[in-house]
Amino acid sequence: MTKYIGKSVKRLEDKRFLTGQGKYTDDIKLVNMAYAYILRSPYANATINNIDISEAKAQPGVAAIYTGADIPESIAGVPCGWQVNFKNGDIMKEPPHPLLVRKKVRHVGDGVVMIVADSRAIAKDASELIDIDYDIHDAVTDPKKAAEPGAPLVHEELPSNVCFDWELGNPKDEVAAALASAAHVTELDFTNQRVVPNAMEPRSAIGHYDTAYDRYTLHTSTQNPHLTRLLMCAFVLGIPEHKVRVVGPDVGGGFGSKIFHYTEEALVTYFSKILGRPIKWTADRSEAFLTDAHGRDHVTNAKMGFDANGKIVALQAYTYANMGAYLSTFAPAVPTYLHGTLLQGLYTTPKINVDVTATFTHTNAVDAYRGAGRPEATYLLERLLDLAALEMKVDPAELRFKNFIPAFDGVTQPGYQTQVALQYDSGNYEPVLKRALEMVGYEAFRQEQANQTNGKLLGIGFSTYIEACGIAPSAVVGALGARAGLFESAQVTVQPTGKVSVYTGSHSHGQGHETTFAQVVADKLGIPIEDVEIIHGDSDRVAFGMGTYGSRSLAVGGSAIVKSLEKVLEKGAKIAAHLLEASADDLEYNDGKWTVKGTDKSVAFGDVSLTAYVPHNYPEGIEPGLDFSSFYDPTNFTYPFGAHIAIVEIDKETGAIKLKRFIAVDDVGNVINPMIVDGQIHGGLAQGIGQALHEGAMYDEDGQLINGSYMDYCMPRADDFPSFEIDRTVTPCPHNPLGVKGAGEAGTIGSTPAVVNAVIDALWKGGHEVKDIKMPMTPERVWNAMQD
Amino acid sequence: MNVKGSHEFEVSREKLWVYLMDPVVLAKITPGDTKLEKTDTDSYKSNSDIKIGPVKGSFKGKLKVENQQQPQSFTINMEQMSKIGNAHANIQMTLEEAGENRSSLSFNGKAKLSGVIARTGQRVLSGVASSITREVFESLEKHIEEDLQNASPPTDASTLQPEPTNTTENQITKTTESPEIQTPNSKEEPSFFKRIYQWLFGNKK
Repeated sequence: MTKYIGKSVKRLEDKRFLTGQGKYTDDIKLVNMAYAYILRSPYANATINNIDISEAKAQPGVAAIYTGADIPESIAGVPCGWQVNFKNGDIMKEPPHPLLVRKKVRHVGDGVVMIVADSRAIAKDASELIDIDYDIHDAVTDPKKAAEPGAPLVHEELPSNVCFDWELGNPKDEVAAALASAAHVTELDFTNQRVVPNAMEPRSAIGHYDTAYDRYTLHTSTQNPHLTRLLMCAFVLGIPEHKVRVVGPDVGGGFGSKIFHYTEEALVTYFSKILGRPIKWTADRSEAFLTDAHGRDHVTNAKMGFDANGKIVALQAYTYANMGAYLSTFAPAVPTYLHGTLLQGLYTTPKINVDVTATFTHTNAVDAYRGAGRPEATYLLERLLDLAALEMKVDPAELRFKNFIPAFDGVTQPGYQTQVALQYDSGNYEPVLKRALEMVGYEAFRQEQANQTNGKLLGIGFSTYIEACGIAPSAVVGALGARAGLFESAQVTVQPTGKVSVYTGSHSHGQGHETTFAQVVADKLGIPIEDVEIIHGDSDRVAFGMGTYGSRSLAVGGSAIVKSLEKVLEKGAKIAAHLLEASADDLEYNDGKWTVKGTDKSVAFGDVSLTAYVPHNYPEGIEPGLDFSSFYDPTNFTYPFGAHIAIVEIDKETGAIKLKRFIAVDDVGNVINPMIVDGQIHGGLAQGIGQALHEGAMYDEDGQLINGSYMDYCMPRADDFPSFEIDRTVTPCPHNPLGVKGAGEAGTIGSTPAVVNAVIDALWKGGHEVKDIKMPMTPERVWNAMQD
Repeated sequence: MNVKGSHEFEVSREKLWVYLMDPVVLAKITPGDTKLEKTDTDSYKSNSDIKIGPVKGSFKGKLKVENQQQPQSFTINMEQMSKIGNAHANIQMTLEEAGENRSSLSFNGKAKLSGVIARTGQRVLSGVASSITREVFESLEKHIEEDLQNASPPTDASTLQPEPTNTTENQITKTTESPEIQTPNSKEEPSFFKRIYQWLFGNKK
């Protein structure tokens, strides 16, 4: 009965995308619409003495100019959606994030004035006539330096820049004792550098207040329209939720950066009523660099201890996490519950302690970026493991096999309880690494490496990762500080003619939900995929939703759809039984029809749906219609895993790195559409490898982002990559109906350390026993490492 | 961005001081300036158009000579504002004797950039800063040389603020504003940003 599931069905949405008919927020034009431009702070830390808007206001075509003084005190700013407590139980420091600052700017890009005009060009030109008098102060941009006494304060009302400190795992003294008795301890200091998400579509928002219905509409490039509505209505503007519609139309990529509720969304909504015109704001690329929530930015010290047989005995990690100047929506969760909880990795490490200090700095906010915390955890573990193998002169693959958690299916065997709070659902880790080694031709490679004569340095790097996806069981995340549930909703409406409309709370911004979800629906109902439409991204059409991030859409959103489909089939069976004059228990459903078992008597899905809406001949006590809503709250996270191997060649003369091969064997559970999963893996790899070799947001000591353009920020390109060699194993998720685990972030999570490890391996083979090369690993950095 | 360097001149420290206090000379040694307007004893308003890579803008700024310790040191405090970003610089200038009729000028300070110019192309700015300042000094050296040849140099070291020699209503303009149309004989240096532009992208317009 799987006509579609497991098949590489071509993406249904691609027709409109490839023919330029996608409809993004900036494509939407409303009658009498005005255009906003936001004048932003050029300084990282400065006091505003005066704002002179008089000349700008007099310009023809300027409709209004708003500053922080035009926003009532009752609107404090955008909220944070996740609370982490200090070790001593105190609530994290949560200073307000104002829509427009009044007195003090705290990072380059902080919004100061919103100019609204008949066109964006007029608004931008007028902004150049605004004179703002600033007193400039010293800034701090490094998360560790920000915690030092005497560092310039980001929020002067706070005693320090520390947002919270946090700890998880076994007691520190137990970990210290285990490390003290270890035969070998590998220690590494490193920075997981800040990266810019760089979605192809810059953020955009249109606020529109309709006086006739006393109702607002916000179109915005978001990954979760309902959550944006909830946050904006209840925590920012105080507008009744039912009086606001939030639409996230086609969205050109998010990578996490469009999860969050941004100030601009509230600004255009609030001022559209005051101005009496719809207001559109669209970021230019420079604003995207400055204000889209960035990713990573951890400064870490970690120690891993091994016994004489190479078994890991303990892990201690200290991390400083950069929050930026303000707390973005999920920022506190990233270095804590999405990072510390993953430090078990695939290994049986008996003692683990992770200690995190999150600090405010004079930089743009940092929040979830593809992988969110899990790439940082994987980077920490996998760098330590490969370095330990080099130091102990053992094979890095062997070292992993020695430490893998034994296989468990989560059905007949229980899940694996880690030292850091999570319980893995199912796992079988040896096969992914074995398969990857096979694809590499490991023995032959090591020979080639040993006999290399071309004057270059060959290196191989490993990364065997785990991630927590399918985010997330509401009660669990609630206990961990989430201020939201993380279930998903789905409504399946069977139309009278048997065509099916599915309203999902997941949001597609490149993932291909309109195809994958339709495959599931078509197969479960035994109908052609053309008869299914997936509707998402509109709070007026979809009752509720939690959106798409954390590789959750199919595992959580897909499961909600399956629940509704089951209800449709259950009711349909009762109607079919009536039509067939049989008992519902005697029917079986196959290929789109109910058949009385052992007979040729059957009734088709379309006949049943028509009967449901034209109930002339209808069973007693059953309501008309065939339309069900469901909410699905997962019982656990899902835990995809995999093995990534990078092979690099370093030019000794220049330090240039050539990525020769990249092998990825991932286990994402059951696969609905292999082509889409491949695409997700490929994209993830590009971003993860990009972090290792190319990307990195650089703030100078004054808090200026000095590479805020595509001239200065290096994005990976197709010709930077070899053709990826990918494969999969399948360990189904035991706790959701589709057995799926999620594939959106796997590539990013696993790949970064594999590349760095390969470079370090190559350098050691060349006699340069360095512990670390800072990412991005530019030729200059690699060359310098060879000059010792 | 740190700026630092020094240069020796074939002129006494006292005479060098007078050259440096001359707004005409000041206009020459201040990167990017094309027009200087005196607003107070030691303060100037400046106007310049710059283009670097894809970024172009019109800078308005203030320049102030402070902490004058004749003849050994002074500070240049500079603020250049534009819609593509601002530059703030505070540079300590030190003059020292370096033998008979020789003196050395060293400078040390910080330039802070903000806005678009900070995040677009800044990485190349610090790299070219030293060659820029070398050129600035060379043009100052040339100016002194020519000045000594063509006319009698300012001899009265107590004349701290000589009247600008080529001003019109307090406005001082560089002798050559458009390097690309300069005559072959002219050795006037192109503006700061033009030099960076040429360095980055060659002499193509």
